[in-house]
Amino acid sequence: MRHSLQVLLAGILLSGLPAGAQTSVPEISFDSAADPLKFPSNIHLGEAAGVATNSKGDVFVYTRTGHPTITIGTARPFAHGGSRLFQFDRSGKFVREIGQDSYAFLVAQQVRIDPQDNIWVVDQMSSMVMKFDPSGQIQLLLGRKSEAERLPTAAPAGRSGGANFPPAAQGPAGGRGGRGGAPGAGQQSDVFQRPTDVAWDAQGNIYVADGYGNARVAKFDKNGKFIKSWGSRGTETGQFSVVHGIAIDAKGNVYVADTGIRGSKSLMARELIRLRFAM
Amino acid sequence: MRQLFVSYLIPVMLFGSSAFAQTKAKAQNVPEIPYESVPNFLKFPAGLYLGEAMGVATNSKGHIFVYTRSANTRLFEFDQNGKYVREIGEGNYGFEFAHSVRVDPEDNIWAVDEGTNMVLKFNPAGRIVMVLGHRPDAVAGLVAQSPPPGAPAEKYILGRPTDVAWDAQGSIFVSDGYINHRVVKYDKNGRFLKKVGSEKPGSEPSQFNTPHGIAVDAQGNVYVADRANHRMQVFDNNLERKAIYDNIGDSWTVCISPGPHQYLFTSNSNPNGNPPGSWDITGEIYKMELDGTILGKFGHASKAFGGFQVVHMMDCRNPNEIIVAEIESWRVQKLILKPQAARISASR
Repeated sequence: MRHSLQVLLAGILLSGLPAGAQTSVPEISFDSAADPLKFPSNIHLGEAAGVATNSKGDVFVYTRTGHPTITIGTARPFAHGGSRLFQFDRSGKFVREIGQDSYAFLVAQQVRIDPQDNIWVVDQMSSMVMKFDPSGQIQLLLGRKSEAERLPTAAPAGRSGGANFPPAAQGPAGGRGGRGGAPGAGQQSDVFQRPTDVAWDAQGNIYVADGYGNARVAKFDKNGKFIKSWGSRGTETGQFSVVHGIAIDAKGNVYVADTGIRGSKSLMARELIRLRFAM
Repeated sequence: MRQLFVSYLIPVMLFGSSAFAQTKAKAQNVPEIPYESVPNFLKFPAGLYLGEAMGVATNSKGHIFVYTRSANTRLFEFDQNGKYVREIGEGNYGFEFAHSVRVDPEDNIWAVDEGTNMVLKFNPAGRIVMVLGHRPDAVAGLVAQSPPPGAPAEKYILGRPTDVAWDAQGSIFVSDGYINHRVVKYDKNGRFLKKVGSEKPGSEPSQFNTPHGIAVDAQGNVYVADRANHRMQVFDNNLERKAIYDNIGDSWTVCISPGPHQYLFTSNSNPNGNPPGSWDITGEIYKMELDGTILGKFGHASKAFGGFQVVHMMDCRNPNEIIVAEIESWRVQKLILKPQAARISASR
């Protein structure tokens, strides 16, 4: 919810920028439908991180709920659970859960539906993008969850709300974890670092907003083959702070929401970053 | 909130420090063996999903066992038509982070878990009848490396073991693993007999750097996928070295077919993370004679159906029907080979 709000806010602020020469933004009035989603008694929404509809108007919600758990093995903490994906029909009636007990459902970030009604899920902490077909079977995976987590310690005095992670214990890993490499370097692969969103162009090419760790947009062909990467962390033209949302219009223009650590919220909007409510 | 985001970046930077390199196989002019992947091979009940497909094996009836990392590590059984049969070992103490599953000649199911450092033997009914290794104690295991890095390898403590195999006498061979770098031979009752390699990685003959898979032929010879040394090592039944095959790239996993003419399979799997260019030089599986002669290769790195995303294990009970388990596509595929198209290569 907070994230959607951020994007919303960025959009509003953007439209109000002096560069756009538009100084007043008309208020769009709206009504909120009461109780739009009907949950079975044993299912509870947690933080509603992602929401999307398919061509039939079915509603998909990717939510942070349940029991995020760390378990122990060989001095390696393994992370499990913490997010679930639900489908409702257009009247808000619960239809089903998708991806139960998925390896990669840790911290829900986003869900999107492509033109073929495939369901795409972005998980921030497993650093994975998952494509489910309309029947709910996995068709494509991008990125890889880290095999094990490094548990954070308390933040040092003088900082609040943070968490520090201890240095990596050296030792052979059973395959590289999902978040390798230097963050923000715009790495040329499908190793994501806390990705946030996904979109497609008319050819089915896949664009991943990546994200909190990396500060880039990665492009893949429709079969998941890496094509290229744009951006790195910084304040220069073509750089990003936190790539937090992405959408593509019918002409293939890519709109990237660049939220993040800025001195003033009005700076969220930058020359290269155009944000619209395309979806 | 913002600070939290920033501090989360730290593990991101530190992770993946020990990436395995990708290696192009030295073997040249190896004939391609055509194959097809069977669509919708495994049928899952609604609500059941594979995570990373780490281990796959078949029993004498053709039933398929898949050891997977989903939200929890789980072991599933399917029948020969791919229909779901049951879950095995649900919630047991030895399951934490799947690595390998194998089925022995008596149809016992062996699971190798690198999160608990254990090798579990299930009888065909699905009951645990033998355990090797010891899980680090709860709570203490959070910080205690087990075994401690550099400590002499112990007979009965495994360090992130990777795979298991048996000879005709029932002796048990364990490849061990990511912390130790050795192969251990136990008798059929689990008594330590011998080892080759040690707690230290090495690249000399009879040393290992991440022994990642193991198989034994009908004569009792032992084939070890010496992954980070970019080779396979072959030993006799007494773990004395016989040969090194170093022309097949990174040997991630090995499989030997049964029957009077045994074939040897090894996968030069594409590395995790799909680094740039890796799809061009890795991803293929080699079919070989036991003496190392390469007969052909098949497969390539791709996320699409029919391609491979980090093959972690193979079943080759039928040498023309290879079942592969892939890490990064959470997928098990059954490949029908058309070997008549392949010629014996003179590449060795």
